[in-house]
Amino acid sequence: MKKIKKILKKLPITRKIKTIFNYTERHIYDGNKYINVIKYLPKFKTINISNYSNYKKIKYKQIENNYFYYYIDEQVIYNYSKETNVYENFSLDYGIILENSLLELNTKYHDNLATNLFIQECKRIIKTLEGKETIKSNFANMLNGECQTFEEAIQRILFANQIAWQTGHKLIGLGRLDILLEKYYQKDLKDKIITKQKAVTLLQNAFSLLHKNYKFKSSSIAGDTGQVIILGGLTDKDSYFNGDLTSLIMESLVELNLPDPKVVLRVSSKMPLELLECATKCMSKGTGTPLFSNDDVIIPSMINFGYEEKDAYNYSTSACWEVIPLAVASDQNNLENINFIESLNKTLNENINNFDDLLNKYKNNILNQTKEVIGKITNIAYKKDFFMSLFINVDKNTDVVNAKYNNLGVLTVGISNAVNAILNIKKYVYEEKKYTLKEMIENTDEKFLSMLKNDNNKFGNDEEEIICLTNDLMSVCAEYIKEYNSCNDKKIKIGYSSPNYLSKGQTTRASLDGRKDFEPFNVHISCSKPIPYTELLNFASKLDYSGPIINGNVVDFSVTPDMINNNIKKFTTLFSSSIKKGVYQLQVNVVSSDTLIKAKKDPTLFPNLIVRVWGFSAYFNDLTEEYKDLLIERTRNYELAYK
Amino acid sequence: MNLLISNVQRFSLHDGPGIRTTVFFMGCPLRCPWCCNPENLTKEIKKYKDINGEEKVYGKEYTIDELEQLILKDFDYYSDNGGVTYSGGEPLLQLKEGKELLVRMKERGISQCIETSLSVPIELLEPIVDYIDIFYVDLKIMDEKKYEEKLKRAFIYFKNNLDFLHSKNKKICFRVPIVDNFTNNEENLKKVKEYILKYSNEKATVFSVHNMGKIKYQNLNIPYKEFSPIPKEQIEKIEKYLNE
Ligand code: SF4
Repeated sequence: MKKIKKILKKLPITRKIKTIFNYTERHIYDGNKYINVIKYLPKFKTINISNYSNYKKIKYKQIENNYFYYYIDEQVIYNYSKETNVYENFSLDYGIILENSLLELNTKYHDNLATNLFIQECKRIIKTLEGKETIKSNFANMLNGECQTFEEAIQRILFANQIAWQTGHKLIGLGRLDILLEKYYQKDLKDKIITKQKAVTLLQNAFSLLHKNYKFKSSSIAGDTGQVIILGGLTDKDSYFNGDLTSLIMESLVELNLPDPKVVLRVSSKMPLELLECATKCMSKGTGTPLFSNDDVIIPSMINFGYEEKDAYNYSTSACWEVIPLAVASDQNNLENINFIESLNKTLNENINNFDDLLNKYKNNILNQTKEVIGKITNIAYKKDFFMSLFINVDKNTDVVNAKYNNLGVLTVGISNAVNAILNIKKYVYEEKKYTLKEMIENTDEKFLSMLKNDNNKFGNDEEEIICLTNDLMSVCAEYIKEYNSCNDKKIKIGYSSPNYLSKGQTTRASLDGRKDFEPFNVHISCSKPIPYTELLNFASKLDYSGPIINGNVVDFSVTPDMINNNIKKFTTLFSSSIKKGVYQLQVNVVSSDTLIKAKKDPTLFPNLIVRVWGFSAYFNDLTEEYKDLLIERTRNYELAYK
Repeated sequence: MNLLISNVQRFSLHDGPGIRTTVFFMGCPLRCPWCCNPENLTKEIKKYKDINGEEKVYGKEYTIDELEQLILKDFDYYSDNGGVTYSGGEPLLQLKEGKELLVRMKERGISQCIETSLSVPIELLEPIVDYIDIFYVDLKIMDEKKYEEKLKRAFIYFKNNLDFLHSKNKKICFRVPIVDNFTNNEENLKKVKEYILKYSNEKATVFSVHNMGKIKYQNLNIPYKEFSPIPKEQIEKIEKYLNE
């Protein structure tokens, strides 16, 4: 029982909710048997999502914060309809709530139940706020007037965000915060109602409030909240937005040393080098902020995919990194995964005549899987959603179901393992002829597996053959999707990186890259062997990101704190060069394997140790033991490249 | 013309300005007792078995073209004064013959640095001197007799070459390995300081011996003697003394 309680304690609340509704998730494995855990869960109040007057079941409590009010009742959950999905996993366009009073919104969108809810809750909160006159007056002004100050702007964003979560939407991003807030910040500076230091205090207070319910907000692992702040970015072909707040937000956040919220910094060769250097310094602190998203590659790719130019320039991301135009799209970017190893293993059971035959049959299987996955996701139905409709397609006053873009996103896992497996087969079966294909498949000898794992040719090497093979395999999916997109309104996107490399690995048998049964797949665009960063970045910059291949393509590597902290300038050069070369996105885990090993042994040693997980950061101590091991191995790999 | 190289390290951060590719040449005229690159002492390919019992080798022959291609792979990252660094072993033993590489690098405007003991006949230095932007030179044992006794090489090569570089106004950065019983004594450090004052305008870097080469000694079946690393505070103190 103790063990189950320990496991339960680590589960994010949304996973606990799934536990209630879903049989398999209601049973947790304690190492010996599956145990029904329902009686160990907290009691939830349920609210019917279609009736917002039920919302009054939430009793607002006083909170300890002198600047803002932000409260989430974690005991409240929603009755989701079983047949339809809820729109989630993107940023709201908070601009609408800064530029309009709630009453104004209510007249503009009289059909929208959400505006009624906003007014009702705003009034209820005002009643709760005893003795907090500034906060109270900010809420009062929210009812009747346009936003006046920096502080009020943040309060409005927090308010909308709170209601988004409380109405059952998950993975809610924070939008382009620097662009949203800059004009209020500058005005307040000019009017002398604020100083830079005060702004930092306000931002840090807001971030702490947003972080507070992180376990409640998490989807799969504690930390997976999707609270992403988008900063910087090209406004047109030649100009890059870099406000005073761009670096200030990043620095204030990093100083707090929290894993969440997190920053996606839109980078470009047009950005000032000082901003990139500031970002590198922030990154070196190891909270996983920022992730770089390269506008120079992404915006042209998005336009080429079919987004209107102005929408592409105004992109934000889903919870991890999948790009999505802000305020006009209800794209659901993370719906299903194509598993490259599943198709490869299927192929290996067929009759193979030679290497070309293997490749052809494999591609055919990838194609079939792609068709199957797309058939599945295009059948998902979505609920009308008056809350989301307020933030998307505002000018058209239509439901989010009819947003300007309603695209769907597919991710991929195992392509790196598949490329490595094919290189091994080519070498040992068809070139050196050391083994037959059958012998390779049946061989489970440790030494043999380690030979497969340690072979020098790997996904991530900047070798022509490997780059071509990778592009070739991805193009099987991409070509089919292109054809599909040419005759469908809901278009499909695909990408190289997926949070599911762990979970999908857990249901996939061994592969000929030396990976054993049910081990995780390699992560995103990374190399399973120690190689120099420049080599990996060269590789990534030569991958094809055209057509539908825009759904997040992240290079992922680790670096030790010493290495990056002693070489900020050189890492800045590394990043600026890779932006010019055409790397799509990049995230860096700043941590040393020594620290991780110590922290795994004795979690009390580093209670606040933060690591980058897939598209988010988390406290190392919140991770499962298995995931801790994986991170340790990955980190050590990069250290070995520089020993 | 082939060059014998033990390793090409991309994205190396400690061998000069910017992001660099460091090429490790095999063969060295000195025998520093604390050497951590035993695979680079002689100019020959060396077979060994690693801890998993797998057969491996130290050393690989490269043509100039191959080396050029490898260095050019990271060309785009050299923007901030980065480039190539020749290290070893003693790169000067092979660079005269590999001069074509230096010519090609210069034509492309790639910065070239060298890490050298300068302990070679001046004929090996003269032909390449104009191609090198920065010389990283070790100041080890500065007493002539002790130098010859411990490092197994006449001191005069070093001295001549250093005077030659000085006369050509080349940029020299000194590096000082601190090893107890060899370099770490007041008298020696005083001499080191005199050299720095006379020959260089750059800050000298000071570093401690380490035992990271141990595994290579084991692989090569050469007896290994452990050295005690010098505490960081002491290194900082010496660095301060040498640069004041
Ligand atoms: S000069 Fe360098 S490579 Fe040669 S013996 Fe001394 S430490 Fe080793």
